[in-house]
This record gives sequence, C-alpha cells and structure tokens, in this order.
Amino acid sequence: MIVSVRELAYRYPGATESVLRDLDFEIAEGEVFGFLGPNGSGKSTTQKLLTRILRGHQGRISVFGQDLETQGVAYHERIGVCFEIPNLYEKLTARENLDFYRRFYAGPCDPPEALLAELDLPEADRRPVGHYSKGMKMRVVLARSLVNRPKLWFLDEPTSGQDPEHAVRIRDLVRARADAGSTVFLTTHDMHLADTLCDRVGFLVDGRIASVGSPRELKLAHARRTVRVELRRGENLESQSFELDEPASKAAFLELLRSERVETIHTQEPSLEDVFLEVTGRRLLG
Amino acid sequence: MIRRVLAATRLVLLVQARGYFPHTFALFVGMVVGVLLFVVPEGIAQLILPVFLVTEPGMLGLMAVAAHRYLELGSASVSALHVSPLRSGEYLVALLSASALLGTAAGVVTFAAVAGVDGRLVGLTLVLFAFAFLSGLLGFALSLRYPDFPRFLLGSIPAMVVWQLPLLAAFDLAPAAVVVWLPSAAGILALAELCRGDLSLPATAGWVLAGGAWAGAAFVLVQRLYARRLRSGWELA
Ligand SMILES: Nc1ncnc2c1ncn2[C@@H]1O[C@H](COP(=O)(O)OP(=O)(O)OP(=O)(O)O)[C@@H](O)[C@H]1O
Ligand SMILES: [Mg+2]
Repeated sequence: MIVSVRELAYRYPGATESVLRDLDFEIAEGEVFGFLGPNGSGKSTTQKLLTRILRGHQGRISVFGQDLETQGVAYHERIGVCFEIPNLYEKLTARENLDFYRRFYAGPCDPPEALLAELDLPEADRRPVGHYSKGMKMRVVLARSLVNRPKLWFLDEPTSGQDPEHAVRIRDLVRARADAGSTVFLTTHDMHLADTLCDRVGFLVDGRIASVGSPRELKLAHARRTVRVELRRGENLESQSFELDEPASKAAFLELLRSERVETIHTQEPSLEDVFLEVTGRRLLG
Repeated sequence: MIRRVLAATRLVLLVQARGYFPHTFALFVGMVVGVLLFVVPEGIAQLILPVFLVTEPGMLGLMAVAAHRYLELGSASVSALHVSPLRSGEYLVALLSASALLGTAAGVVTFAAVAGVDGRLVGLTLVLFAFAFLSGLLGFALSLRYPDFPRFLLGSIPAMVVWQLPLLAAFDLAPAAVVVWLPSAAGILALAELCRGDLSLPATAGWVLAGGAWAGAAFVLVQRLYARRLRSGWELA
C-alpha cells in the first residue's frame, strides 16, 4: 500500500467539532483513488493532512510504507500537489512559475515547456499568469504539480473550471500517469470523471468513509436496478418504470410483459451520481 | 539546503521586482540619496547619513518582508512552497536575505558616495546585513500578528519607533545606557560610529557579534512562531 490511513481524526485549532473522525482507507500503488463527498465534508482537509500542510492529526497515516510523521524533505521530493485554487505568482509567467518551483527539487525534473504543452498552454507566453483565465491558471497549477515527476500525485478538483475538451485532456493525462506507475489521490465533484477515471472511489460522509469500492461495484451495490418500458395502448404510447429489487414492482413488470404490447425496454444504468446521492443523502436524513 | 535557499531568494527578488516593491529599487534609492548627500553641506550630510543607513535596510526592509508575506498570503502561493522540499526555515532565511541584500547594497552605495571608498566598507557591509536581517525578522514577527498590510502598518508604528530609539543615543540626545538593551542598538550605534569614522576593528567585530547574536536568537524564535502558525493550517490554502 502506498497510502494507509487508520482511525484518522482531525479538528481545526479553535473549532468545536472534528472535521474527520475515524477515517480509514488505503491506496495501492498505481491506483487512481477518487475521494468523493459533499461540500465541507473534509476532502481538502484530508489532502492537506496527507501533504503535511496541516499537522497535528490523531490516528495513523503511513505513506510509502513509513509513518508520515517521521518523514522529512524526502517525502516532499516524491509527491506532487495540485491545489483547488490557482495559487500562483500572478506577476510571473507560467514558465517562470514552473521553473522556479522546479529548483527546490534535488531529483530529476521535467522541463516546464513539455508540461505546459501537455496541458495545452502556450510555452513561450510572455504574459504574467495573472492575465490568464481561471481554467488556464488551474492548468498551470496542474503542470506545476508535475515538475518533480511525483510518485504520489494529489489532485484537488483538477477539472473544476475546465471546458469539456480540457477536462478530457486532464482525464487522459491522469490516466497516462497512473499507467506509468504514479499513484493518484483525486478529489472531485465530477461524478462522470470519477466513474471513468478512478480504479476505486471512497465516499467521505460525516468524517468517515461511508462507502468504498470500484465505481462498478458501488453502482451495482447502491443504485436501484430499474427498467423502463414503453408500451402501445390503442393510439397512445405510454411509459412506465419498474424497480427490479421490489417484489411488487417486479411482479407488475412481468404481468405487463405478458398482457400488453411492449414497444421498447430499457434498463436504467445506475450512475455514480445516484450512488453519491444515496450514500450521502441517507446520512443527512439521519 | 543551500540550493533551496538560493532558489527561494531568487524567487523572492523576482516576485518583488515584478510587484514593484519599493525595496527592490533600494540600490537606485541608495544612489539617489548618495547624490543628494553629496551636494548638500557636509554638516547635514553627516547628520542624514546614519539616519538613512538605519531606515533603508531597517525600516524599509521590515516593511518589504511583511509586504511580501501578505502578497503570498493573498495569492496562497506560499502553500505551494510548503508542499515542495523547501522547509519553512529555509523560506524565512531566503525572504530575510533577499531584503537584507538589497538594503545592504543601498547602504553601501550611499556610504561610498558620501564618505568615499575605504576599509570601513567591509565592516559596514557586515553590520548592515546583520541589522537588516534582524529588522526583517521584526517585520515578519509583527506580520504574524496582523491579518493585512494596512493593519500591520498601523499596528507596527510603536514597535518601529522603539526600534529606532538608539538613533537618539547615536546623536548624543540620550544616554547609551538607556537604549543599549534594544536588539537594534548594536546595529544602529555601530552604523553611527562608522559614519563618524572612529570605529576600530575590534569594536566593529564586537558590534557584529552582538547584532549577529540578536539576529540568531530572534531567528530561532520567529521560526518557531512561524512553524507553529503553519501547523495550525490557518493561513495555507
Ligand atoms: N482553516 C480552517 N479552519 C477552521 N475550519 C476549517 C478550515 N478549513 C476548513 N474548515 C472546515 O472544515 C470542514 C471541511 O472543509 P474542507 O475544505 O476539507 O471540505 P471539502 O470536502 O474539501 O469541501 P469542498 O467540496 O467544498 O471543497 C468545513 O466545515 C470547513 O468549514
Ligand atoms: Mg475542497
């Protein structure tokens, strides 16, 4: 396991309530792990604890097989962090932002030009990044998080503010890096992205992991299986939905098949969004 | 470690130059002041030179350090530094060195323009750097207390006044015994003596040691305060 979190609890100094309590999860090498949950559930807080921006947690975090508390500079040599906000030097160019950052690392680094090109940013742009659009700034942050070829890559909502073309580009980039051996800790609200990109996802609710598994497993386990039927009644085309996991509804469906003239049948694919709503919504209702 | 400090120092200087920090034009300011002091009557120049040598690396440096910190807080760029191998202490050294370098350069240029080039410049460089570093630490420590630059400016006025009190002793307006316990005293009194031209080598060494000791102790203290602040996560994105 590259990351192993056990009974992690954290409370901000001065706050009365803990953001995280009893959080457990693991991430295997080369895995893209999606960390999902409602606003304010503590996803960014968890990322900050894992990247050592925040200190003073309870429980145990072990990364690269070693307790996080005992790791020094070597840890930051091996990770890359993409923030949820464009925290760049606004008066510097994109190239300069990457170039200066790169000098903090002792290990091998990638040239800024290549990374900028990979994220569809003009390498030779003389403009300070303060003049960039939000989506462009976020792609510079993303490029910066890659300069040291991180073994463990933290991404906090990397596609927020991106147009569909760039969102796909970022998804492909993350997939490629994971296939090349990087481990990815990804926070996102984009359920489609999580579904298509993540090997496993965990839902953070009330400071704990409420549910974890591959997107496919979770969809099968949580979402209701329904079929939607269109049938001809005289001149009219009607449609009805049936829940296959409810005996009464299932019986009605079978009866309909026997007695009516059915035009089309569609299984309703459960989506990760449905899982999200169910996993997080049920908790909200208590 | 040295490599990271140097990289961070260059970054700080570039960011300040692009942000038009007045301090990055210290060298220019020093030259202008040097020319001014050159043309005014000698008596006035003698009076102004120590004051300038104290305010340029001291007060301007203190403000530049704080201004830089607020700029980094505003853009949250400092968070990115703290997930890189750069340690918080190294960042602090870089920030203070950058402002001390500029302040020292400006002071040396001014001094040379007024008093000419002689052996005193070596001692002057050392004293100026230690004094500027220490003043920057004060600026950093004060900036930890205030959420933004305007409030910092207002809130720091008493500290800045007290910080410059040893100037009174330098002009014989107050007995040295009253101000000598201030951390800034060693630097200010040494600069004044240098300007008068009667600072011996042992005396210079003594002042540099005293100033250096204050700077070292203050650095350890401020670094602890800063590290504790960082751990609380209050100011990082
Ligand atoms: N510096 C701070 N001090 C005190 N409380 C904080 C601080 N930062 C965040 N919180 C609180 O901690 C909780 C979790 O915040 P966090 O930013 O981790 O949520 P998130 O899951 O990333 O949300 P989002 O989806 O909106 O990004 C929130 O209730 C937030 O108000
Ligand atoms: Mg967040």
